[in-house]
Amino acid sequence: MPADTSLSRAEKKILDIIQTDFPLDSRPYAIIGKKVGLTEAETLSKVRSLKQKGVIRRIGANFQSGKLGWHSTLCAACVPEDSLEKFVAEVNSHPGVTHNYLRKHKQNVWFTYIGPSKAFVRDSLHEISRKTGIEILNLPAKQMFKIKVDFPMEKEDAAG
Amino acid sequence: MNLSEQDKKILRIVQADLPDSETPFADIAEEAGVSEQEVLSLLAGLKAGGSIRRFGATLRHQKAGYGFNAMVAWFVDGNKDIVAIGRTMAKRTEITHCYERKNCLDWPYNLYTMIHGQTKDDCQRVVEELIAETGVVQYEMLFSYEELKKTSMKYF
Repeated sequence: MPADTSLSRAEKKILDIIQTDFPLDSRPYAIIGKKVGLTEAETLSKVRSLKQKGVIRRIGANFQSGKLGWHSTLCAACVPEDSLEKFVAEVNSHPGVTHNYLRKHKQNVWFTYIGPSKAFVRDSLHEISRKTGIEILNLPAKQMFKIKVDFPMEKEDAAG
Repeated sequence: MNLSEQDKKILRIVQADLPDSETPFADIAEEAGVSEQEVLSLLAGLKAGGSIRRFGATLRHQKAGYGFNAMVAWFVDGNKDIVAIGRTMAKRTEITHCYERKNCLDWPYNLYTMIHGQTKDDCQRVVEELIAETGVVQYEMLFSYEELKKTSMKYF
């Protein structure tokens, strides 16, 4: 039961545009509106409602951390049930941890860490391990084949 | 990268959320004490140079109809062409992230894909097709069952 049944055609069109091609222009919503056949005010009001519904998390810039000179990595840990709360609290207290998920696996906690340098990230991970007694797998990227986190709304075959 | 204090003021706003207004860039300009044109050229320049990977809306994919995601960690043996395999996997529209990563300790997996679908079966079907296509048979499929943290990085 896909949750997108609640989205109108106009909302889907707007989402397709503003995920990849938000106009860097004085009146962005007028430009988007022109493409989907709505006025500027109607377009902005639909974007506001998509935010209120929680479909849109935010609108802004997504940076390529490496280009800014930062270092990022993926981490995994095998955390016993009774240590989970303390471990997650410690990990999440780091501003460099942007994503953290519980996954169904022996390695059950998976998080990303972004820091101003490789040494900073390594030292931070050591510090988490020292405080919690939990070993962390550090899995930095060697090569990126794809990152494309916009989700097509109108093309039915996109996820199937 | 040479960013002025004013540039950083602008980027501090756009790394979070655009002002809710018909003229978001003029609002940012006012807050940072620069002209709207300066805001727009900074952003366009960083986007063209690749420092801004994407400028736009980030969705909660569960609410956008992509309810299931699986991270699949693959072990690609040293005698296989990991670049060709990575590129093959990256072609799939259901795959949003595809990276070669270092292995660590007793965790041998070196190729990672995030697969999104409307159902769990969608994700499983993609994995089966990739096994058939690439011949990579050793993998771990990791379904998420709780989001513990999701935020955007504050670089500035």
